[in-house]
Amino acid sequence: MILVRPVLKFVGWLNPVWEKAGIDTGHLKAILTAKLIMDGRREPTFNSNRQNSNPMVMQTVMNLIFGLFLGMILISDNIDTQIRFLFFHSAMLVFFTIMIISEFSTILFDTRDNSEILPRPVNAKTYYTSKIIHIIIYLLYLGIPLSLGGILLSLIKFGVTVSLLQTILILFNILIAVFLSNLFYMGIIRFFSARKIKDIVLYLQVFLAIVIYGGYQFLPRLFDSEAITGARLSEEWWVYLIPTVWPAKITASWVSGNFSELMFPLFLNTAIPLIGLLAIVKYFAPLYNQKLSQLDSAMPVNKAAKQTARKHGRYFINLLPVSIQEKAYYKLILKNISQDRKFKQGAYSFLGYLIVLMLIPVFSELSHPAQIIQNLAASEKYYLFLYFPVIMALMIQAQVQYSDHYEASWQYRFLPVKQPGQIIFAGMLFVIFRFLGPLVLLTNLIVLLIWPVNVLPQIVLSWTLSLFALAVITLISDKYLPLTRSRNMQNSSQNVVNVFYILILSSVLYGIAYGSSFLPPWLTLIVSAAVFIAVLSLFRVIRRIPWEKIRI
Amino acid sequence: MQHQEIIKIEGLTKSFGTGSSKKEVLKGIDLSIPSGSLIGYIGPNGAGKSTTVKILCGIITDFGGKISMLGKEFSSNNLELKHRIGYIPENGKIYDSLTPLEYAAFLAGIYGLDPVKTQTKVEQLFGLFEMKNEVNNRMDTFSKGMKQKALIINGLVHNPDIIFLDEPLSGLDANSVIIVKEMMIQLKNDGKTIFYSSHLMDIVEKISDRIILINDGRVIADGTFDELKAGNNKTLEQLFSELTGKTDNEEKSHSILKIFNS
Repeated sequence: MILVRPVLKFVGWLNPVWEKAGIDTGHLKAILTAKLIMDGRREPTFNSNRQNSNPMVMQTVMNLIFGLFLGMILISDNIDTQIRFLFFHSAMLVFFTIMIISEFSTILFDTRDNSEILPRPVNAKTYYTSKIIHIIIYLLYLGIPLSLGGILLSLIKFGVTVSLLQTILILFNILIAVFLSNLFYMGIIRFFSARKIKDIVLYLQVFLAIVIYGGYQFLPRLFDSEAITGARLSEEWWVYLIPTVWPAKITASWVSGNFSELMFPLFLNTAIPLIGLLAIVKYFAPLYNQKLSQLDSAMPVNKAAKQTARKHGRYFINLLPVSIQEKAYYKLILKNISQDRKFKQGAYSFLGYLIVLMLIPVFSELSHPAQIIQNLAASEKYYLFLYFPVIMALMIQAQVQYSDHYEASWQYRFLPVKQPGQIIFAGMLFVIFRFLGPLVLLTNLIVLLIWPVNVLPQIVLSWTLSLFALAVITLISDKYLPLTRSRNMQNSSQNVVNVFYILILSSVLYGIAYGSSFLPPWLTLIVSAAVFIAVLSLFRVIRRIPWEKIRI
Repeated sequence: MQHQEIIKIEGLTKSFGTGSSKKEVLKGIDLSIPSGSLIGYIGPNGAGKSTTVKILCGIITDFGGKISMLGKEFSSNNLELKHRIGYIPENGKIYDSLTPLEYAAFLAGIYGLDPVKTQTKVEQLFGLFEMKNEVNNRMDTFSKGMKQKALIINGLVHNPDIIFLDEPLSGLDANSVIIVKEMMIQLKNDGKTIFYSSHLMDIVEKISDRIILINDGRVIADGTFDELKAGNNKTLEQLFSELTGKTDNEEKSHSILKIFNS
């Protein structure tokens, strides 16, 4: 965890700079101390015996490995020196910016500050500077492992001075990332309402999470690309508009001993992030305070629009032969989860990851799109598309039990619920209608467009097997009612077991699907019918799960 | 004793949302509050009580109208005024993963107070609220009432001249309610100005020397309890129902039960 005292000491050394910029150093210290202490205590105390550090350690290790991998480009002699450093610093900048937006939006939009800072005599500049420093501290913590590989490899390849230069340039890279992300936030805060900001940030976080994941998957493939090995940086003036050209030019000039070309990019690299951040603090801080206060205010919602969105979900349930109670549970789950930003963030991220995973084998060779489709049609990769929705649905199913409002689960106990299995079944129906169904429609359409119509029996089989998998996972997992667990429990060992089940089940599904491809179509349809009957029986078992089997 | 005007509000308006979803919460509030008074600010749910308090504390920064405090124009950037006001919210989102002593250190830093003295003060105040053993525990482990006591202590620790309280008694036990009630009277006697927003009529009736009733974003009654009663022997609760036009409460309760039983 971040060490509060040394960090504050370092911030304190810069007090003359802060004071000159109109920042109250006493306030800055008080806010940063409180925030850093709180960061170390993100988990509630009743869970304090848990191994909370694991995700952070895992992330650090991942960043170390990925940073080392990124740094490899610095020692690739077949690539032009400027391009090597341009690629390295661009990758760093992208990752730092993504980290800010995906990890630190909670710092920027901490609505507790409405009660804690806004009524108190803290000036807007001081408050906003505290936020920027808070982010930079964390970015250093996450960014050091990411940059270590590059620094180490440049030490081996170019010697001590270049590696020291890289260290300084990476620090400035962090400042540029903070500046650019703040510019972005300034844009959305300036032009969108407080309510919209939350949504935009949510969808952006999902998008960026997918970009990071895609980056991990696709970047290694770029190394062999001729586009990189043959590239040269243009000498036109406009290349200086790209911030990562500055460190690339600085280092390349240093390495080649061409010091006369070093000054201009050095000036840009130093001046722009510092002046930019100062300007943002000066002009953006008051607007930011105003918007932050609006984020917490009770604002009327366009109820009619929301109602229409929900009716869509209710329509299907009314067609099914399920009890009134099951319909009520379904609607309760639907309404709650539809408004749950964290659930959406998790669900859409899963969706993105799976799309990336699905596309990797599809785009294993980087060729013309028409060629890719032609190759696909000749292959049997339609399984990837047919069973992708159920993997997604299985992941989502494991999330339905979590809610920020889990305390409201007393209602399940209080109400005369005879068969809690019906509530679990309603949760499953929610996953089927809201996620599995739409994805199945979409992927089946893609399959029918690419492959000949004789894949239809396989499609039918995929429907029944998907439902079968969902029912099985519900029966073998620990039985928690929907919306009854705190999100803080999400990293528990039970989740690992669930993921393990999902992996096993997915492999079995792909095995069955592969095996069925050797069967004649009529037999595949008979197998599908048999699986469907099994599904109906499993549904009945789920609906009859008694209270004794429910975990609290 | 002649008190000078400490808060002046002219034509205060505030709306949320835009276009068809725009909702006007305050529709022009005019108030003049003398120093050393204890104002009971009451109104039905959604009348605009909390919004008024949040504006007066600088939490809501965009509003219409003019506010002056201590003879100076109030805006969210007026830090000098903010030094002199205290805010005690109801269930406010606070930095509750801090302990009360850590929180006191934070407040000392913000208000420029001696951190050791402030922590000692907080420790003593927690002792008086029978929470001495809690000063080193995180506030997110506190019950609702304990959290409220922490909010009261922290809102007053810098000795403000104007104190805004938004449902401060929420979740407090009976003894603590008595303590806070007495505290408010004592603070008023010491010359502090207290703006007490609540829906607990009996307490407002007992401690306020002036009651302001708002409904639908407008002031509909303003005066002492005796002035509002105008010679009648009514309680504030009864007056509240009359003034807000809700005299059919008994009928409504019958109708509600009728629906339940149907």
